Amino acid sequence: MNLPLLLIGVIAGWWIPGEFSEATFHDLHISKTELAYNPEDQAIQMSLHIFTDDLERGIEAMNGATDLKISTEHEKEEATQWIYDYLSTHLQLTIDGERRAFDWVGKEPTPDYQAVWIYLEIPGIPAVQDLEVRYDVLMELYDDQRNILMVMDPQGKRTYHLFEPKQKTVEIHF
Amino acid sequence: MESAFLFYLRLGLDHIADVHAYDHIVFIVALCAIYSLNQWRQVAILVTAFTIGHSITLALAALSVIKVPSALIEFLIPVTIFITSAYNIARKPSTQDNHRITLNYFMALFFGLIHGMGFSNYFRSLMGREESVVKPLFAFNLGIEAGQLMIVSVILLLSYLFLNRLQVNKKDWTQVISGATAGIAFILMLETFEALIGN
Repeated sequence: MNLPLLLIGVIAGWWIPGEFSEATFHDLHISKTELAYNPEDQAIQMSLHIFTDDLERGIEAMNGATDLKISTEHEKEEATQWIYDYLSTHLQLTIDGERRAFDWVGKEPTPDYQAVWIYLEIPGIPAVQDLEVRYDVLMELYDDQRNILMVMDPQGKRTYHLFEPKQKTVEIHF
Repeated sequence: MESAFLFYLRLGLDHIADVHAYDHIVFIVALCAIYSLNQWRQVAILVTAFTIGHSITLALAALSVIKVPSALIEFLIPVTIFITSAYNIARKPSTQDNHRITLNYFMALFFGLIHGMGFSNYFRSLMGREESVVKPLFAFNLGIEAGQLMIVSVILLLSYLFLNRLQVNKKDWTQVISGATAGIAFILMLETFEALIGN
């Protein structure tokens, strides 16, 4: 065993993690949204999955609100409105050239309560050709945030889109 | 626009090569630290053993056959790196008999089981609700293998540069690399242990 060399290695090892990771190691900075155009309802319907602690942090950074306690019995009354406001800023859809706001449908916690499913809908869309999506949820907080969009087109075909800080907008052609 | 296959392939590749989630990279570095380029056959077997290990648990967890306590796995992953590094440091290079090498393969296989459960945490966070698991799982795992091959190639190239070209003593090389991976593993163990106790 060569002690000096071993020590050099160990010191390098102590230094490296600090250079590459901030916050807690291996937190999963991922949100995902399933989007489908439903021709019967003439609506775009979305289910968005986001980790509850991240969502609360995002809202706190947006308006300073603390202790939202989402998905608990002590959930703040304004929580739903703030979640909607937050998502309206960070998930934006342009349908055939026109920016369209979504309606709030509802939310529910995942079985393990670590995340929430949020349901959103844009009604009154008789047809859709081009869809432009900007999806930068939580990217203002985490530089390794990734958002996944799974799109089901009217023919039932799925496509997948990855959003990263360097790629916040995607254009989809149906 | 991407198909499911390409999408999950890319995410698998990104995941193992991600500097934010470098624990798997560090493990592969530790595994390879005792080999030089002319021992590439042994490295190939070693990496295959690791792959078999992590593919088994990734598949079982993705198909919900086993349930993974994620905080525990995040702690155990640096433990596997630490043990591998310590083994590299403590072993005597003169006793490179078959028995030792075989032990190394078993370590890679067994530790692969733990890393696979780590991959599954990430994989499940990517999955949609309605789709079938099998194809994304296959693509994701394939992406991991591709990333793994890239990492191994870089390590072996570096070891060729240092050992064969710059004539660095192989024992010194192993000590420095293993010391570094042990140091990284130690920090990660402390961090993940806090998270484990906190839960």
